Amino acid sequence: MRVQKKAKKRVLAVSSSGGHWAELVRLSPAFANHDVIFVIATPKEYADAYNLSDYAKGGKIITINDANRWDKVGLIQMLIQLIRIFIQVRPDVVISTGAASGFFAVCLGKLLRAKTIWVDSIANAEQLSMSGQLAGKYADLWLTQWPHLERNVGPYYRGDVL
Amino acid sequence: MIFLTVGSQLPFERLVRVVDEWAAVNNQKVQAQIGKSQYQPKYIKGVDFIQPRQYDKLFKKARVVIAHAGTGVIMNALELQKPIIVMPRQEKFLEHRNDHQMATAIRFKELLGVYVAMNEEELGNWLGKINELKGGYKIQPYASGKILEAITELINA
Repeated sequence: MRVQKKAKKRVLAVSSSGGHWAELVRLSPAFANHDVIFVIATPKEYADAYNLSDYAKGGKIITINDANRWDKVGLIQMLIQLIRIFIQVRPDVVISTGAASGFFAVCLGKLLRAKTIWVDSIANAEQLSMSGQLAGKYADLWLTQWPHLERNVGPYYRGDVL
Repeated sequence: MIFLTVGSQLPFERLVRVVDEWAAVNNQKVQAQIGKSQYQPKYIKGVDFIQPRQYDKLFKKARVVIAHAGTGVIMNALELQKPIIVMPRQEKFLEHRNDHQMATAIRFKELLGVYVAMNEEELGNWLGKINELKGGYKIQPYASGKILEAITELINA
């Protein structure tokens, strides 16, 4: 009988810096046994600090420009950087905790037929983040971390990162 | 030593100013990461950005952490069972793009060891009691349970 081996997948884990990043790292046991590439959107001047950090042991870290919805040029630069990463990595799975960078990543992932996962930040206790609302359409697994924000059509509640 | 951090993305002068004035009167040693701030504190040692390793050191050494109501810093404090005072950023003062930190603060208020100040006055009250503040609820460095299972299940499907 042939022994079935679970093939390693290429996982792209994308988020902005700060809380989003902390939450993504907290989720990493769920995908740590695959080939993981972390992408962090951080202001350029701080990028080196993340490259040197011990946060995501074993995983490769790529830093990209940070931008939010008030900075259209920055958003386009970020999207271009992400497209390049997607061409190189060809991920099987894309996971994000937010924000704008993660939304783009989940869209690109869906477009390229990767499995996509959006975990809306625990910071969004009253309503989903703007990127979280938009990401629902593109995420195969769409989660909120607050039970009162769960709906029949998603997002779903499956506990939180604490 | 007290460690003050407002994250690295946006300044939060309302918070820094109160802590600076308090430190002056009470002769307290405060180290701070204050972002690109117009307001430059006089009595606390504030810099724009602290490298993650140094940040971790200061965080561990601090008796109490004071911060904006960001989930990253709150989770960090819970992990170390470090007492933390948080004040939410507000959109009306142009401190953030929306008021999600108000909601975060209200929700995290229920956890032991998280001392929430919704405004400067409440912040002053907690600072007045700083020697009595204790850490409480402890979390592990990684998530567990249902949320990891849900993700693993989709990856392996």
